[in-house]
Amino acid sequence: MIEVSQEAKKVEEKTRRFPPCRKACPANVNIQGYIALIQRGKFKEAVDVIRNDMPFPAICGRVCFSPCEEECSRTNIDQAVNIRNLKRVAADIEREVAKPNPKPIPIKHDERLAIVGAGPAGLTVAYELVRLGYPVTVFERMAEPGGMMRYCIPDFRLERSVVADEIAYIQGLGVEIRTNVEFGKDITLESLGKEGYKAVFLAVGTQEGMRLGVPGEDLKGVMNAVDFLRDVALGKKVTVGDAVAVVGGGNSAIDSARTAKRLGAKDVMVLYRRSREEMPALPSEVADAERDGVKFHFLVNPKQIIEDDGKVKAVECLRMQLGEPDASGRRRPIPVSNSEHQYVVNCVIPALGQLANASSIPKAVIGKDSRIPLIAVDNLTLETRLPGIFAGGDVVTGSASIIEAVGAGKRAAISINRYLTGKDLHQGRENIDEVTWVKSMGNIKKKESRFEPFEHQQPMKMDEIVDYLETIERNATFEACRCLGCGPCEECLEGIGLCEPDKAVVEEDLCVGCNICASVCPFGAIAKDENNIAKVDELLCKGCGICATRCPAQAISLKELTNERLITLTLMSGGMK
Amino acid sequence: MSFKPKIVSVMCNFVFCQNSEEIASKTDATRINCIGMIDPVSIIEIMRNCVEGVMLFGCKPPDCHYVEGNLQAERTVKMLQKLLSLIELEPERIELNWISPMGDRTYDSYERHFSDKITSLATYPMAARKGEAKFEEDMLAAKRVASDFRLRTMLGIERKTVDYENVYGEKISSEQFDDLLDEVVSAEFVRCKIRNLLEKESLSVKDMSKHLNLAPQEVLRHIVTLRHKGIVAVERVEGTTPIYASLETN
Repeated sequence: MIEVSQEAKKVEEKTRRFPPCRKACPANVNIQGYIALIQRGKFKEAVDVIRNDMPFPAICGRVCFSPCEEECSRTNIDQAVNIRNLKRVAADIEREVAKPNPKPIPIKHDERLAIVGAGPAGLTVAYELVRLGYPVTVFERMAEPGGMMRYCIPDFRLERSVVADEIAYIQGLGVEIRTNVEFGKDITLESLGKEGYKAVFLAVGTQEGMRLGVPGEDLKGVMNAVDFLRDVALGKKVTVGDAVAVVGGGNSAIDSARTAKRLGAKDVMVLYRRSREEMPALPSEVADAERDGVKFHFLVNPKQIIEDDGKVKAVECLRMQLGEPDASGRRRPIPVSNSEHQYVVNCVIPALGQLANASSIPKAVIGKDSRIPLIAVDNLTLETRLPGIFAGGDVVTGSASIIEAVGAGKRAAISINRYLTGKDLHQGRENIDEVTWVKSMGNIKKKESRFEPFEHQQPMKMDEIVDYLETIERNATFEACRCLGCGPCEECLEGIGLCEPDKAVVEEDLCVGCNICASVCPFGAIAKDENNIAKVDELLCKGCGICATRCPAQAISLKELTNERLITLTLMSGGMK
Repeated sequence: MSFKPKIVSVMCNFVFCQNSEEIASKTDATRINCIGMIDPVSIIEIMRNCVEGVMLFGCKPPDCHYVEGNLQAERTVKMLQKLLSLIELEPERIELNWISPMGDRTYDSYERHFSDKITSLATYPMAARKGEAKFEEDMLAAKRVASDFRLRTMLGIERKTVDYENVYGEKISSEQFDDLLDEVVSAEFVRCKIRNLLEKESLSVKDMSKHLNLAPQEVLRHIVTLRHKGIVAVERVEGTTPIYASLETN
């Protein structure tokens, strides 16, 4: 049984040092920890480590945009460890072999909590708080929980069954989810208060697709990406015709294009106003779309949609060129005059991002100065202007990603717990993400990658799965071994105890202050102090013992595995033969 | 069960990950955090206890989880092999193997191969030499070399001097460093033998050269250095022969 959410505990305890991947992860998932377990073939335990940090191992293993991989230290040698796929493999193996089996968490608190919106943010808050022993109810407008994970990401990227299973797991812990309840209509902040809910988390998300703002937008044959994907997900009959133009460069655009292709469109093109480098979509998704036969036209922007008998006939575009970087850091597209040209299509799908539905947000919490309706919150605590009302996810940030919503959910859960137990919401939360960096990483000469790109294929038939799992397990352990484990020692096997964390200790009387230890330590964990005596930074030391073997004065040894102990151990082992 | 030479293996936590349980059941394998933590003193001490051979396993570069602990180990092993040849043992008795997670050789195959190699060595079995005065002296001297300040300093600055420049802006190649290290190891080996001798009794250069089977001028050269360093001093003069004594306490 989990007494206190691990993360909540850590935040309250002390400053922590994270490896780069964990720092980059909006939800601070203990990546090094589960990779260390995968190295040893302990997939089930690896999923437990992920679950300790967030409730969606299988979902994020499929569709996370993996900011962790961008920061991976391994990029200094060859290329990043394929963290997302490793997570997916672990989660899939657990699904196939071990079958996750949640046990209801005993309720320890009386305060009932309401969460509005069963998307990744709302479900994460529910997950974190139910593990703390609160009775949690989630209200969802749609017929099924999951939010954008359920209704916006197409089935071929994220199987419905996966979403359903991970939500079932959360429900299994004791979270109640009420669907077909619309906030603003069936329930309001006042009604929730009257019903006795002590705190509310608003995570209604953003569902309104942004409009193109060009003539012809309301023609038959123009449908917004969110609506298009939702209708397909709901199983409605959607006809796209032979030629489809998707406008935009994000993941929804790519998803829409690939979905349209699967609905039978012969020509699917993505029109994006910047170039390939600026696309927000995952490069792997773009590559998959190209494999599906989707064509990309860069540096074009629709000027108008041309009508023929009330239907879309073509889309007229202007060429663009890239100017100076704008506020988002990407180069601003500038139209080239007299560059109009047309693409003949039956259907136009704008995929330009989403906005919140203004009517679904209480007026009192809407940000005052934002042009688009978003909820204003304290960046750290996610509390709105109203006490006891918290908000997070897309409705605060504008349309973003699953993992960012999960991160927001985790922060909100800590705040809500503090709010209900009468603690200060801010205290001690600012300095959690100091990062360990491998000092001499940049000096390692780039070496050839020793691995083929590691791919985890789409699921297949049951009888193939056993063989497949065996191969993938082997491949996954290989891939996991590429992890350099740059975080502190405890990070890696925190609470699992695969090997003993060790630390170097200096015998001060023997130290001559030569500083060789500092020059050999890979992590900058040891250096001489103002008295010319070597000092170990325990937060950074990973117990490799290189300083000990190189200390000319033999002043350094490891706490646990001293030379004497190593000799005894070795001799004992050899002697048994 | 056929007779097996007494060999031991030390490996880092990250090698043979896939069959870690199989390794755990091996009686002659010891796991440590990083192979870079292997101290030359421990290895000599292990061999002094009649272990015929030591196998070390580390992650194949560039995969060390401690960035370059494997390369540190490589240097230690080179030094140890030189030391072994000085005490008239084959350098092959210490073997450093790189293990890649992609490799498919099992631990057993390494062990069998190493075991065969050891039994075919000319000095096998080393255990038979236990008790020989010279062998014991050599081993003790080797151990002293391994804990010697000068040598350890050299090992410590190796990565820095080879990869970058030293404080004088010089950069030396790995081969040059090897040669330098060999020189230092050979010199320190003789000096450590002299120091060990003098700690037992005060001797003249002539006596020492006889005992060590070295030319007197060679011994004298080292004595001069040791006197410079304040490690030995002239105790008395017998006739025209100076008798040297150790100034070290232990």
